[in-house]
Amino acid sequence: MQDRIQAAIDEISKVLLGKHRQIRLALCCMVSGGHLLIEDLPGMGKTTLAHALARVFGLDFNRIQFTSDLLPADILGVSVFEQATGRFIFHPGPIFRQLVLADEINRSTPKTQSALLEAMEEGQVSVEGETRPLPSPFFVIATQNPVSLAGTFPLPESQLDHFLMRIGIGYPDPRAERQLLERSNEGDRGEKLQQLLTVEDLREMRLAANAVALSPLLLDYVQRLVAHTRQSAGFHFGLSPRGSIAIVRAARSWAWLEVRQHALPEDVQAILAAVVEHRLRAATDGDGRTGAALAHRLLTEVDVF
Amino acid sequence: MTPIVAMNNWFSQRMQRWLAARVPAVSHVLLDRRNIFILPTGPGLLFLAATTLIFVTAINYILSMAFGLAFLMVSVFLLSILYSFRNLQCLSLRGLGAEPVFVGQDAAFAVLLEGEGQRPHEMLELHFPGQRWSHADLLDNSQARVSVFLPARQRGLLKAPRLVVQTRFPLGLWRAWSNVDLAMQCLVYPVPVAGPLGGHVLASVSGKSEASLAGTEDFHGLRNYQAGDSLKQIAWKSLARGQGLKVKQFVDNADDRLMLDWAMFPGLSSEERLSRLCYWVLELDRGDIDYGLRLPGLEIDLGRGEVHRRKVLSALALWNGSKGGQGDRSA
Amino acid sequence: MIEAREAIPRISLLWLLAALLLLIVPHVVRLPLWVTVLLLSCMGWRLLIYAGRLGFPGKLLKISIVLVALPLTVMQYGAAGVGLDTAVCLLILGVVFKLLEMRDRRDILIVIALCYVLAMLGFIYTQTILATLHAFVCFILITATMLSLYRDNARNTFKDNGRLAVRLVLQSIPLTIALFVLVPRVSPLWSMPLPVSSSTNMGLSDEMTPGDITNLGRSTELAFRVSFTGEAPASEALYWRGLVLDFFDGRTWRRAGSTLQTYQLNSRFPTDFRGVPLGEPVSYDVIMEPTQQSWVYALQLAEVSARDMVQDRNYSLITERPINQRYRYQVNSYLQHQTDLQLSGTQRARSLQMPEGDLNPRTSALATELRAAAGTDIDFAMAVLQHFREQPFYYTLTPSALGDSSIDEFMFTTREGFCGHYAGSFVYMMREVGIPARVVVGYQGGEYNPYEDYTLVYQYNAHAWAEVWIEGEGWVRFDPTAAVAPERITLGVESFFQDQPGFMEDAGFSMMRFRDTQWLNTLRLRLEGLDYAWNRWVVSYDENMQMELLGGWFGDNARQGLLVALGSTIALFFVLAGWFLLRQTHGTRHDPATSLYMKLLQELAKSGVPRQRGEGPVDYSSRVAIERPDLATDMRDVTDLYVRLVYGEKSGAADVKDLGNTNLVNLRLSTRQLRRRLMTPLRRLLQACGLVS
Repeated sequence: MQDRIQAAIDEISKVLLGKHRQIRLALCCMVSGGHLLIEDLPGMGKTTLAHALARVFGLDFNRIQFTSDLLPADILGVSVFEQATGRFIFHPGPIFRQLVLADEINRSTPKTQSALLEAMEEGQVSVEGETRPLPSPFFVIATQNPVSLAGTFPLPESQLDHFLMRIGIGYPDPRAERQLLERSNEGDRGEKLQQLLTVEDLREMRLAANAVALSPLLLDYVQRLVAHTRQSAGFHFGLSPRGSIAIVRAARSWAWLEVRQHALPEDVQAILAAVVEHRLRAATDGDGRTGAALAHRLLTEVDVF
Repeated sequence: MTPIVAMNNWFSQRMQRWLAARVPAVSHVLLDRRNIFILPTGPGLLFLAATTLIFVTAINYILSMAFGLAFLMVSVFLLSILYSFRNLQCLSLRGLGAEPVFVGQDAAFAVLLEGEGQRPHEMLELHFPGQRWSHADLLDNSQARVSVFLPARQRGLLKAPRLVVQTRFPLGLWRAWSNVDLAMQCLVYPVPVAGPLGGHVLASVSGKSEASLAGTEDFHGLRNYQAGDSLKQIAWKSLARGQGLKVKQFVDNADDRLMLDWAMFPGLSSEERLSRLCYWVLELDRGDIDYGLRLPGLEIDLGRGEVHRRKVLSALALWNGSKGGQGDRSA
Repeated sequence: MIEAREAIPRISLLWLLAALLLLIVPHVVRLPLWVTVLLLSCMGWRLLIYAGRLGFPGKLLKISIVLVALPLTVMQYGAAGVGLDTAVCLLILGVVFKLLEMRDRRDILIVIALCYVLAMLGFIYTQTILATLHAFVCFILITATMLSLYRDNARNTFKDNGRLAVRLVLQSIPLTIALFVLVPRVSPLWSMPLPVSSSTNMGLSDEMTPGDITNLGRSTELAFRVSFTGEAPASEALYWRGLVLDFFDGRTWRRAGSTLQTYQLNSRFPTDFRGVPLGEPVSYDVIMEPTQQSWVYALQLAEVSARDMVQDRNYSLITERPINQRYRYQVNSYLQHQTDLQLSGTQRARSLQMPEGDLNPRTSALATELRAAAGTDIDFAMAVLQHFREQPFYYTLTPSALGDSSIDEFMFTTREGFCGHYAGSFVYMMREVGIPARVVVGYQGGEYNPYEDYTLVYQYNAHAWAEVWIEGEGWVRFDPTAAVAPERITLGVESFFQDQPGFMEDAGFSMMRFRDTQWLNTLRLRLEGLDYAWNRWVVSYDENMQMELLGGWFGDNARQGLLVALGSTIALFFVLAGWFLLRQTHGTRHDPATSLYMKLLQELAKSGVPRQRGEGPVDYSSRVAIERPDLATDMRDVTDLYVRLVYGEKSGAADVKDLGNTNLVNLRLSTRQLRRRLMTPLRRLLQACGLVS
């Protein structure tokens, strides 16, 4: 099974050059059944990655471009009075898909954001008093621009917490960039990606990842990490229990991706930055201002044993 | 240089080299028996003097209990070595660096103190030699963040000297200390000095002038609203006419962009020029104006905002005349 | 340098005032009343400053207080000169004045140093258990004061300071005891002024005018305590010999001239010593209360080995310095003995000296008459005793006053008196007929404390008796009092005087009054015993006792042994206390597998590849593989084993702790192998010898 994952990674790498690690993290997030937030500057390949993931898994896919005038109903759907039948008919919104790409999520108003995030959390949608389940599996891959850019509504911490991981893509390395430039005339390669996995595969992977063993020593380590964010100076607030569960879930999936039946501290460390960065905020302005710096502090300050 | 001064210098150099070997510079230092030093304090010597007095009296009057008192004092004196030592031992220091400051301000170097285990660390005193003391206690919490101050006298990168961390806990009889180099540095901007801009102001930006840059004065046209646009600029009339949400676009002809140039302050020394440039950077930043910076051998494009300001100020702080090549008073 | 924190924390002031107040309490009885009042008002003032009600006193006021207090003090003690009391008073005044101008930490440190000195000064006056406990509590309070000075944080509370101060002081006690026992004691460097204190008992006087000793009979104060090695002799044998009074001027018996042709007694009896011991000695240990006099008491014929004591020609034990502290000495006494079989001319003359003029013709006549009737000198002495016994003589502590012909008046008119009267008259009669005789003063008897096994001798045990020189026998003791009132000797003075007016008149409400109440008496004797043990073993610990004790441990090289023992004790203290205080506090205890792995990590760190904080085992293993390719395979195997053991599927608690687990055994073997590879050849050798783990 892991061979096929590797194949999928290779496949996606064809469109997102030199970003093995990010792709792996994204897959890890999907195997864990969590939602993914991709944050980076425009043009770095956020959308490409989301497209590629959908295609490789053969998921039912929809893209929602978030804008400031997007209303909750535009996502969730509306009931429209149909004259022919004389009844209200529910027109499902674009969210009723297995994989939803919420593009530039921080350009929409908080109201719209929270509609999406509520759906993510509950796995169902309540419209006009009626609850409608979302398909299974249900993934949201949201992209956003760095918060400091103009014209954005930053997601509040409470909602960031709903994303299992946040990853950045980063600039390509020079070799990858050269390749990209050489190929620039070939057009969108995303269309050419093969479907390598199925929804069934994804379910199996999830089960397998859940079977990965967690030793007491490893859980101690996770608890120490979480405790550190809660106790030490420099952290504005600590990780929530949801955060610590997220660490364990992601670490399990990562261990499974590494073809192991047990999780190691290294697995925790591999996913830690992606899982906690967007959940942490520094207490004071200073060098350790960013979530990335805080995650790095966690890795270097909390010992494994 | 007199021989004595030379000797002193030689000694302090040797001392620094020895310290560098013994307590090397790293951003994280754990205090242990290798880098903690300990000596009695003035009050400690006073205490010893009192002990000696009591001891001599005990001998002369053959007072067993006075002997006992003297010995108890000696024991407490010796035991407090261990207490002082223990108060520093297992304490780790981490340099967190400092926010940039202007010349003449105090750079506040942030140091994170962490205790290993449950042991409290009380009455910790930190300073850079010759500077004022900062204090910290690690009682029930295992961490404390302290700012240690160092006056910034010169533009550029201020390297923090060795940090002295000491304690006189518990009885003030001993001073246990360590000199640690946390390899911290602080960016020092030039001191801002007000001064009129020279005559090149308009000329300096003429080349960059493009109509597409947003201004506030002349109406240019309408475009679709985007999130983040100012409410003041929304074309309410066209909205009322049912033409949707549009935004009025303006362009300035009189420039609201300014390229700050080295050449704007003729007849001043380079430091004076940098100070004036610094002043204007702060002014322009406050005035919501795009600005750039041109120094000999260095140019920063127009921009605004926090990041831009920092970039420009850093350039002013780190600019090195010799690299730029242009003379001081020539322009 | 540290401006803000040089101020005195408020709590320090309260600690200091508490310490000072407690320190001054025992001195108050000795200080003039106005000083006490001044002290209290200064402290009150300081408290008001503390409360913000009053400011610091102005310069003028401070100067005037000093200007008034200084001359007053000098005037107060003027009569006694600049003695110790004056010094103490001035020191206390100084400390308290300093309170009023104490503003920063430096000032308070000086006051604290003076407080230590004050605590010590108390010991010059008394070193009882109570005084020691008092000083100990003061010490803790002063320590807490110092602590609070340097603890300007949330822990600067009475509770936390007190707790830490007590802990510090208690932890110091073992070393204190070691130093107390081991630090070599030396002789005083120079002589010091002594406290002039009215409350100190002066003991027996070196003159005897009948009427003198009555004061002692009234006093229940302790003279000395004796503990015998082995069984104590019977009470009637306990004649504690003090001074010999051999000069009589008609009213008063005194010491005649210088008798200080002395014998050093730190060895056995010197060759020209004229005392001949017979039989076995009784050995005992005496702790004497301070008397301010330079003689001590012992049973005749005494052999002492103290360095600072000599025996004069009259067998009195004379000390180098007046006894102003409790004084302990050891004696071997040969109760069977003969002394001075030959009497030198000077001594004979002294023992026959008679007052000028014929003041007591009737007594002289009586003596001549009795001598004529008696065959030998001894018969004559017996006849005189017989006379005392048969004539109506009375023993009383409150005799009538006597005129110039004191002996005649006593012998024929009043016929009542105490030991001094009888001993004096007896010696007078002996000398009248040419028999050498002299008066001896000392103590007789003592109270046996059955709980602690020692004997107490009180001032009311004071006694005087006679010694008569008999040809062929030497000096023979005669106690005429025993002839008049034999119960005084056999039953002990307490029961004999029970109903006598004047006995224990000065005792007030002391526990002595309640000696009939059984349990109170027991309590009294128990407390007495505690005090005695304290004095015997702690307060009297000096050069002699130290040498005695350590000689037993180190043999002849006591001095060197002492220094070695001292050095090693201090070292041991540092090792133990250091281990106790400085041992690294590990946050968690590791399971056996992790412990093995940690040991390996230590070894690897020593060989230059330390694991970084936060570095996981697999990452570390790959780094080691890069930095030390020679270890790569072994390290990978060990890491594999370890990781599988602690992170693997069955890493449940039970499995990891099972020491017989094969994986764990494997891990142990492979870590050992790897560690051995990392060791230097020397370490490997040491390990092979079992010297290191």
